Amino acid sequence: MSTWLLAALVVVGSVLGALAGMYVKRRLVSDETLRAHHDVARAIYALVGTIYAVILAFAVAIVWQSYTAAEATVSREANALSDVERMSRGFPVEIRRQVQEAARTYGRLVVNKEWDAMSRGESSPQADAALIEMWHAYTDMSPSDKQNPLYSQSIQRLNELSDGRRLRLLATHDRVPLVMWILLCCGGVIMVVFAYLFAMKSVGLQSLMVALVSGMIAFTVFLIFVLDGPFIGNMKVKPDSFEFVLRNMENLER
Amino acid sequence: MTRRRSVALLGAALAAIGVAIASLAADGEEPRGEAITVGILHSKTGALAISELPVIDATRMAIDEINERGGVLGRMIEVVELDGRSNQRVFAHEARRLIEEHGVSAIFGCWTSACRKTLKPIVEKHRNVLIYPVQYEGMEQSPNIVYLGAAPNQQIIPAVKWFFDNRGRRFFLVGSDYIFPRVANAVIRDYVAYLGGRIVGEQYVPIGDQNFDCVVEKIVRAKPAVILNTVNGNSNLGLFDALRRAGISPEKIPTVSFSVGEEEVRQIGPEKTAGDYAVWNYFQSIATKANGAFVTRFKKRYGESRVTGDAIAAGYFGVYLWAKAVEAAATDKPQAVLATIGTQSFNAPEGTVYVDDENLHTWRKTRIGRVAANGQFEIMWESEAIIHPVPYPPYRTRAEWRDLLAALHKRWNGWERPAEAKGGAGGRERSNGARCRPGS
Repeated sequence: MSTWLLAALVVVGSVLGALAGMYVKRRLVSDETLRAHHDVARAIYALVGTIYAVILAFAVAIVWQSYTAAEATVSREANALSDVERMSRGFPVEIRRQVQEAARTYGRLVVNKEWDAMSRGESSPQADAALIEMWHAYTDMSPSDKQNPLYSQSIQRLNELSDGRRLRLLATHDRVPLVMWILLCCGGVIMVVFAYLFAMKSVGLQSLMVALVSGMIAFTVFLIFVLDGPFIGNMKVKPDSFEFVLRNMENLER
Repeated sequence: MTRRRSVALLGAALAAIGVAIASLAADGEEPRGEAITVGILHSKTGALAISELPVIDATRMAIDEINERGGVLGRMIEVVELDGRSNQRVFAHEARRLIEEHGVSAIFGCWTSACRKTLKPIVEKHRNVLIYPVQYEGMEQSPNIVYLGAAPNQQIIPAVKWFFDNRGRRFFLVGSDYIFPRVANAVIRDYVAYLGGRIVGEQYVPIGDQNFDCVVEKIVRAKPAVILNTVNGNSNLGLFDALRRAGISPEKIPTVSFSVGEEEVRQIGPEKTAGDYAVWNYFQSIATKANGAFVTRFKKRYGESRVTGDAIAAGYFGVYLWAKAVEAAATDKPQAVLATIGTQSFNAPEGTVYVDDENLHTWRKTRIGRVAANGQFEIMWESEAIIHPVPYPPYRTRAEWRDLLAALHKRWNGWERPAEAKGGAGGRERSNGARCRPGS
């Protein structure tokens, strides 16, 4: 199911549920009773609303930050892979072939195997092995090859590649904790229920207000849900930058 | 036309349509319950039988285990076992029979590279599958062969590096005179040169030859730090015997073998090989639960005195990889199985092995073992991770490697050294093919 369709279903479902609740409330509780407690309800609603708004904003900011950080990590890692491969062309041919073979294998495995594995919180042992192979090509070089000015830069980029991989894999475990989900969902319900506690003459106007409040909360919580886990679900970070790098490696001798 | 006749005609037409639809539907389905036939093609007689019989045992064991669990796709695996008789012409003939007469879905077989290279065009022509369990010299890739054994970068290259770092820079190469040692030693020469080491001698003896006195004499004179041994089969008896008689102990000059495993150590005798080294992806002594269970099952089935080894383990997990590919393809048709086998992995006795989807070789760890007094290997070194199989070593272009193979093929008029060129004691130099004369 597409994210947009799912979002529409969640928002419409929440709004309908909230409106149903409102009509039940209107049958069970009289407006006079509610009006007698408006002042207190207003004060508490302001307090609860502020707390919930802060929590909601905080949650959105965190998951968005995590998502964009994961995107940046993937781009940096892919760039480092590309740089290592390019710089290998400045080394003797046997080293170049080793690095290029390992770099291409690494990129291919990250795209074809690891991306799916990451959605299960796993990694590819083969991709890991290909990275180790790249390291070996440099650490096993002869002392004279290590004098090449590209050597230290390659090691630096290789370190960035390894760091990028590590951060990317760690990001697969970046999830909103369960207690936070309980707080977000219960808080949303409380906010909508609080909106019932204000008596209004116009049913239509109250319905509109309840629908807007519930719709906005539902959409925000849904946004947190789809952004939670940067490598999971329909809106997960895509391996585009690796695919781009791989396309530029296709001129290797096969 | 009467009404009754019209009804009968309509009924007949509907029945015909029904039969046609049923037969069309059946075309797309696998015949459930009918056995899947596979071929086992190894040498049960001749010089290679001693190495290949245990692989047949391991292959059979895996097939029986799968059948005991209900088979593949609900179908039992049926085996047609033929004898290659250690002769590549027989192998070729029997491979054709397996495919054409028995209609096998896959062939598990071969030991030597000559055999594999002979069968390659046959399985490619018939679009069948050969599952090859032995480590080899590389320089090959076929869409119809699954290579379970080590490529050079999974055995030879890490071993040379380890001994270069830990034992010394002077290497002596000794091998049997056929494809694997010739090509493996070409890889070693390139790599040693790249590392800055030195090859101080290179000698070949015909397969089966046991007279190594002259070769060992040359080793003594050359004073290498390490002997790299690609001698195959029972010739190793002669090599190790000659080394010990000449006073070359593992402490003085260690021998590193690429074709000596647990079975060969058992035959040569641990007393003659203890302290020397071998390089494989699998050793019986790997201390994992899965390997312990595998060894126990193998011994329970074939006898307590039996040992496992690299090709035996490969013969075993190769069946499971193929079975997983059949399950994934939902058919045993070779082309469909080849399309899915590249994504398979299996928790083998040595750890998880993966098939590479590009070159159909397997990702495996490399291990260096030292022969212990009990004939088992003490694992001295293990690669940090599984190693990506690279069939073409990086020291030459693919075309150059192919040229090397083509030159050997041309010189031998086939993939096996001609019988008339074999025989005779002593060894052959790499450069001019001249015999080594004892005392010369």
